Amino acid sequence: MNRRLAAVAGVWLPAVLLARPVRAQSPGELLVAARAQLERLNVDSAAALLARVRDPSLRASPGQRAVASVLTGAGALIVGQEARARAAFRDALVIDPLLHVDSLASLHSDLTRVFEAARAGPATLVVALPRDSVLNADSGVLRIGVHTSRRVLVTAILSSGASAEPPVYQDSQTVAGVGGFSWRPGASTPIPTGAFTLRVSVRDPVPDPAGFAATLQVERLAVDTASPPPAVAAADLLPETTRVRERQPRSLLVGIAFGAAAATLADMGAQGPGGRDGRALIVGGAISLGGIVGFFSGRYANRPIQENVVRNREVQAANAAARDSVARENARRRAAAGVRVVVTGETP
Amino acid sequence: MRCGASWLVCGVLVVARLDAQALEPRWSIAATASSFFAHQAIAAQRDLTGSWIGAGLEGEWRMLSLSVEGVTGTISGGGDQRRVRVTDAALRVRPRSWLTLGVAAEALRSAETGDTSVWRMVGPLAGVTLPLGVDGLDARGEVAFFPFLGVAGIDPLSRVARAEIGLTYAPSHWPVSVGLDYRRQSFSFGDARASESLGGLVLSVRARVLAK
Repeated sequence: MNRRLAAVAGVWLPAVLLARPVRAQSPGELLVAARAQLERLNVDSAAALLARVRDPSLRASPGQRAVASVLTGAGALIVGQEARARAAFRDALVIDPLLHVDSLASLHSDLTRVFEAARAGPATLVVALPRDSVLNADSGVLRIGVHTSRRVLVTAILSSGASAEPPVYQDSQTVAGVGGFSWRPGASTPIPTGAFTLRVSVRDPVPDPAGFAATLQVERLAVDTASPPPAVAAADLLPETTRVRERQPRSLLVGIAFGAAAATLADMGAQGPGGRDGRALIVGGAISLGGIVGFFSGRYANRPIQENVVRNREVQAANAAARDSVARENARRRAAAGVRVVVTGETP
Repeated sequence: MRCGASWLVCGVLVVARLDAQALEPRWSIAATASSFFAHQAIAAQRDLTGSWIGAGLEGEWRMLSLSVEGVTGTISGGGDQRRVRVTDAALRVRPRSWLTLGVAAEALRSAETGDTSVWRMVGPLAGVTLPLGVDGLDARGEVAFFPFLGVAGIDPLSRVARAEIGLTYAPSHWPVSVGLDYRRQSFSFGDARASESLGGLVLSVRARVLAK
């Protein structure tokens, strides 16, 4: 038993002790190594190294992934597969439209030609958009950076998504490599808030142009506003009228006029031997008496108190001025409040 | 007589419709009981007096009202006695709260031994109601002139006018009102006969049901 264990240990222990420790390579080191392999025409070795660069766990930068695609294309050229090389170059341009391969031209004599042919194909587009930005409400500008693989007409449209509503922002420009759009939220009144869709598209006669879409959440930043002073309470105002009893001359006139008319009504028409009907006087007297009672009993009327009216107006005006002042200040604060723009979804 | 009265009624209805277009729907029904202490002067020859009783009904819709009243009783004096029945109907419109316009129709039936006459009269009326300064107390006056006349009998009635002046007291929040009026009516004849008059004191109690 001990002899067998000693034999196994004798075989494996030197191997373990002599083995070189495997050092973790960075994407940059892998790219350097892959280029060296290509220069030695070891395409398969280079391909293995480049496959590791594309491994998400290594977290290669977009530029490193683009170079990896270019080196992949160079390897394809070395083995005579130009179509595969062009596809790899397009992958590189999709990642970085501004990519140039001058420093890699020594890898293959056709590299530059095939790469430029790929660039002449469907335009690629990369939109650089800040993920979370706070803009000044009045003068803030959201920069939308655009990189294109070649000279094309680019259109940016920011809309709420409802087809019936006009876009919040729309602009077009010819971009040859580097360009950009500037959306000023304060240009719209009121400042649009909510979810908006940003679409950046390329107008290009070459089929299958690139496009970009992102969802932007736009919101006003909360501001600390002041509370307006309360309205003037009724208890703070002085009575503006006083209730007084007034005589009613009109009632007296009506009573006398109708009473006289009733009393003389007995003279209308024929008179009998007994003379005029005295009962008309009863009715006339009753009406006149009613008018006299109405005159003296009078009626209650509200008579204005000018001093109190003036004072109440001053109080009301002062209160209104204070409320207006607070309202203006709150409006100013709201207008000055920033606008936050957050990219919540992105579709390259 | 009928044609002229029809034109009067149409005029009242047109005015009522024009005024009612801008008003809220509103109607009321009122019933009236009255006593008429009548006095009739037949030229300068005779005075007849009597106490009559009467009742009336009035429906009002918006500014338009239709009333029917009747009083009846006997009137006597100087050995003469008559059984009299007066029936009034009126269609009124109130273009202003204080003004009433309309058309009145009246039938006066007088029966005495061996002679019964019926006078029918139609004509325009106008009335005014003004407050007397005491809550619920109003003075009112109404004048009617009857150019359209019809007679069943031998009397050549030629001109009739009627006037009524009085006051009403309607306590607030009460559906009942009382009235005291003096009514006077004058009759002229087409022949050489002297004119007559019929008047008297009218006491009335009125109950009104109001709805919106």
